[in-house]
Amino acid sequence: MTGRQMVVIGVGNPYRRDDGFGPVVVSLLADRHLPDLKLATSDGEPTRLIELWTGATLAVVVDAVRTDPARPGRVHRLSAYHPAVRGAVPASSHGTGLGEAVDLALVLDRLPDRLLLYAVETDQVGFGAGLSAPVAEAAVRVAAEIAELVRVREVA
Amino acid sequence: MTHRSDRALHVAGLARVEGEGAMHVRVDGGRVTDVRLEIYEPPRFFEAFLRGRGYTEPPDITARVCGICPVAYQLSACRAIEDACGVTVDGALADLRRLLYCGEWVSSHALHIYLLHAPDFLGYDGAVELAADHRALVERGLALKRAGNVLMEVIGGRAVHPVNVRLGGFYRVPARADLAALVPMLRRALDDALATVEWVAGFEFPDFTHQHELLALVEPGRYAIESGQPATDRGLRFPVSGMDEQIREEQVPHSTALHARLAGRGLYTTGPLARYALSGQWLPPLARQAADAAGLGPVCRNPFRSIVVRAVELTGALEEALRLVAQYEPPAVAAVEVPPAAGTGYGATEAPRGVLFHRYRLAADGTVLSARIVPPTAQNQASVEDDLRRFVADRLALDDHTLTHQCEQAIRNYDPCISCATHFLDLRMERR
Repeated sequence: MTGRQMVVIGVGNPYRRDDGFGPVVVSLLADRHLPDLKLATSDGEPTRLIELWTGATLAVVVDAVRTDPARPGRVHRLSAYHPAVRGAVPASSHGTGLGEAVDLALVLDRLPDRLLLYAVETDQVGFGAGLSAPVAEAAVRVAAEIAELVRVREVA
Repeated sequence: MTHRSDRALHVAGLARVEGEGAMHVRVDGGRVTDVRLEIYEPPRFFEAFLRGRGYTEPPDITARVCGICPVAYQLSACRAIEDACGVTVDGALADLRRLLYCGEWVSSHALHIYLLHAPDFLGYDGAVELAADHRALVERGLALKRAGNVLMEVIGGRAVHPVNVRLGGFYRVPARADLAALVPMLRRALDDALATVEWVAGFEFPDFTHQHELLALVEPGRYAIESGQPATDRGLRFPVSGMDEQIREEQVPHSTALHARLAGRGLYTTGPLARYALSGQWLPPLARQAADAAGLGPVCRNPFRSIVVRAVELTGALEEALRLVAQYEPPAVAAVEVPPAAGTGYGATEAPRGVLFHRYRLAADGTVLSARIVPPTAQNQASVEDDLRRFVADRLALDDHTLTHQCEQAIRNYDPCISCATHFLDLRMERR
């Protein structure tokens, strides 16, 4: 990424049920055709995340998380520096995650100006396509919220 | 604690492996009595998921098996389905596929060498700690990985799960200028790759070798990547369509994944060491020189030195990419027609981790009736277990922490992408 852009990165695998939350949010944002917003999907591999957000004014990572106990569809909004991000357990099928990406980006001076994580609590992350109902509803809410966040920053 | 005959070790979580699973090692009375790679989740989901789908869908669906090697899945699927339909993709379209695949090799190998495996040899816990002390090195690794990603984006549409690949070729092919613009980046990456070989060749490697039969695709005259015939270093050679007879998968009690064996022969290893042994003489010139300078010889049987072979392959992939870009003329059509046909088709390509076999049986209207996917990590599971068994047996005097760390390193020699085959890795070692 070369310009001073905003980027939304949907992390997850659409064939792992609720792990597809991030890509679904990105797809909903694509339907809105927001100007100056870069959209990307990723499997969460740390160097790929770093590549996508390097130089951005705002980067929003949308991911699914496992919690115990879980309240499927509950959304967590965290900054990159929140301790929970650094120790986050990704629901995705790749074990490495956002915490490692943030740590590596810090060492390499490659964090965006502002990095936000939207993380949804999952119901099912087994093999299969399609989100569970509460997670699908959360995807609509989160897409609307991020669109507003982007619009406000564009005006500013 | 050292020199103890009965010990129990437990390490939760095996880091720097793509995907997750479990490795269990038991040392009983000073002897290694059990080594098991445990896999929990149904690895065959994608095969079941493909049944009933249209014949054009598997390349896209199977690319989701792994974010690190989507091109391997796409092209093995394409080759198998094209085989079933009686179509051969050759000429400029085949070259473009090879170029796309070079991008995946560069990206995957750079990631594994710099961020997953090198920290083992340099005494760091991981890439973050390595970057803190050697930022320029990690930046070089990231630049190499980015070169591979850019190549995949220009040809494949994007680097993670490329969207431009289809049966018969591509949805659109790049203009000559699109690829020519990549040359400066690829040249810099080639310099970085050569420096990478020198760097990793200087690491210290445990004195350890294996005698596994080595299986790779072979295509005389060039280093096999996106096509070739399966062959071993002990003279076995069979067509890709022989995969069902030659590669036997057996259920083992501790795993839901199948363990692969060569029929009537036993365990085998696929991946960089096998490719190098069978096709090393056809490496591009700079890669060949780099291999010689690194002292690899004609065959390398020390799995810890696979990092050197990966660096040589990284070099070769960039040389090959530059050659293919230089000779590129856009194909007349972006894809050849692949009409559906009833039958069974077989495809195999060299994923960064080793041979990836696909087989599809199609109905006359193109509906997928059955699918079989044999990923490289599943094929190497028995080899990983064998390495660990012998490796631990020779090092029982080491303290628990050191031995456990070296076991993890031994597993990473294979760059296992366990998400291809499984989920959740956890290393458990018991000594009694």
